[in-house]
Amino acid sequence: VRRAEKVDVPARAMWQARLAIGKHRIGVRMYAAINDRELHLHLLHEKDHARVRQRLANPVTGRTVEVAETRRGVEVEPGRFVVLEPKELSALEPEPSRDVEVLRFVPEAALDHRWYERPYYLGPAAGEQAACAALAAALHQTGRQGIARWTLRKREYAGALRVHDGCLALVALRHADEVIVASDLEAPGGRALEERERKLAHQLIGALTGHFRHEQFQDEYRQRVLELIERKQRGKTIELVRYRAKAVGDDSLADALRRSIKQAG
Amino acid sequence: MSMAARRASSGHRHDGHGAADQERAGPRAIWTGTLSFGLVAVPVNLFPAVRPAGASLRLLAPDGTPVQRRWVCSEEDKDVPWDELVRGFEVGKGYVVLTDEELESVAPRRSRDIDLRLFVPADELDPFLFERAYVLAPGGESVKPYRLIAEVMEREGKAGVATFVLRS
Repeated sequence: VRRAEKVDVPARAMWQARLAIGKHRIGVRMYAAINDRELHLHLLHEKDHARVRQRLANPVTGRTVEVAETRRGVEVEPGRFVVLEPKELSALEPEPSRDVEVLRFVPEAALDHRWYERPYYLGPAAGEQAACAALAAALHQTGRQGIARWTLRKREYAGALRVHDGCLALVALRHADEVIVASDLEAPGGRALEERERKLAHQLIGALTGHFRHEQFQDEYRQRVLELIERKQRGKTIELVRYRAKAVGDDSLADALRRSIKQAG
Repeated sequence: MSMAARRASSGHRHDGHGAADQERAGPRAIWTGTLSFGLVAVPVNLFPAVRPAGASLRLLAPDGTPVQRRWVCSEEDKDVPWDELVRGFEVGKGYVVLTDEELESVAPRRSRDIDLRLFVPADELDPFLFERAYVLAPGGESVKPYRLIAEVMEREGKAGVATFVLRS
C-alpha cells in the first residue's frame, strides 16, 4: 500500500491535455496524484566526500564512450546484439498528441487494482469547469469508467478515466502481459473446512476488524533515517540498536484461533 | 518496511509447473514466510502478480560491446571502485555521511512475518493506495489455515492490512 502522502491540492500541472470523447473535446490539466517521497541520498567518494558522476565505459578498453556515439541493441542470444539505428527507433516512436482519447466506457468493477500503475488527477482547463463537472457527475451516476489512451513523452499509455473523491482522475494501467491472471494459478484443494473452524475464524477476523487510517501506517524507516541524519549532524555518537520482530507461537489451529479471540477481545 | 493490503480472493495456489511453463517464465515464488494474525500462523509463498514486460535495449559502444557504467570522483576525475562509495544526505553545502552499518541499524530487521494488524471492509481501501500486487500461495504441508482465512475474508468482503519486510 502506498503511504498517506497523496497530494490534496496539486501544485502544478504536468501536462495540458484534451479529453476526446466521441465528437466532444474537453481541455484538462493533468496533475500527479502520488508524491515521490524517496529519501534522496547521494553517492560520494569515501576519501574526499566528493560527489561521483557516472560515465559510460567500454569494458574492454576502459575508455569513455560518449552518449552520442552509443547505439542501442537487443540481446538475441548471449553476447549477440541486433543493433537498432536511431532512424529505425524514431520511426517506431508514437506521434506526439495532446489528446486523451476515450475509447469506451465500462463498469467500474471491470478493472481491479492489479491493473493500476499510477494515478493522476485531471483538473479543468480555463473555461472547462462546467464540462468537467458534468462528465464527473455522469461517470459517478452511471458507475462507469472510461478506457482511454494517450501518448506522453514518447510513451503510449492505456488508462482508466474515473471519478475519485469528486475529481476526474486518470489511472495509467499496466499492459496485459504484465499482469499475471489468477487462471495461471491453481486454487488450493483439500477436505471441506469444519463449521467450528469457520466460526472461530469469523470471530477472530471480527475482533480484529476496524477502519483503515493512514496515520497508523507511516513509513517508519524513512523517519528513522531522518532522525539518524539529525543526530549525526549534531555530532552525537550513534548507538547501533536493532529492531526486533515478534516471535510467532506454534499452536493447533483451533487453539490458536480461540486464544487469539480472547486476546483481541 | 513495506506494506500491502490484500484480498483473500487473490490468493490462489501456484501450480507446480513443469519445464515448459518455466521457459514461459511462469510465476515463481520470490519469498517464503508466515502470514500471522492473532496467534494464528499461516505459512505462505509470495509471488509477484505483475511482471516486467517488453524488450530491454542495451547501450552499445561503437564496436558493439555493451557499455559499462562506472562512477567517477568529481574532484579527482578518476574511477571509484564500488567499495569506496558511501551515501550522503545533502545538508547545506555539505553532506552527512551515512555508513552501511548505520543505515542497517535503522533498517527493519529481516522478518519472515506478514503481520496482519487489521481487517477492514475491502471497499474501504482507496484504490489509489495500491502500489504493487503479490499473490500469496499456501506454503508448507498444511493448506487448511490458508483456506480458512481466504474463505472467510472472501465471504465477508474483508481485506487485511499487514506490514511486512521485503528487501530488494
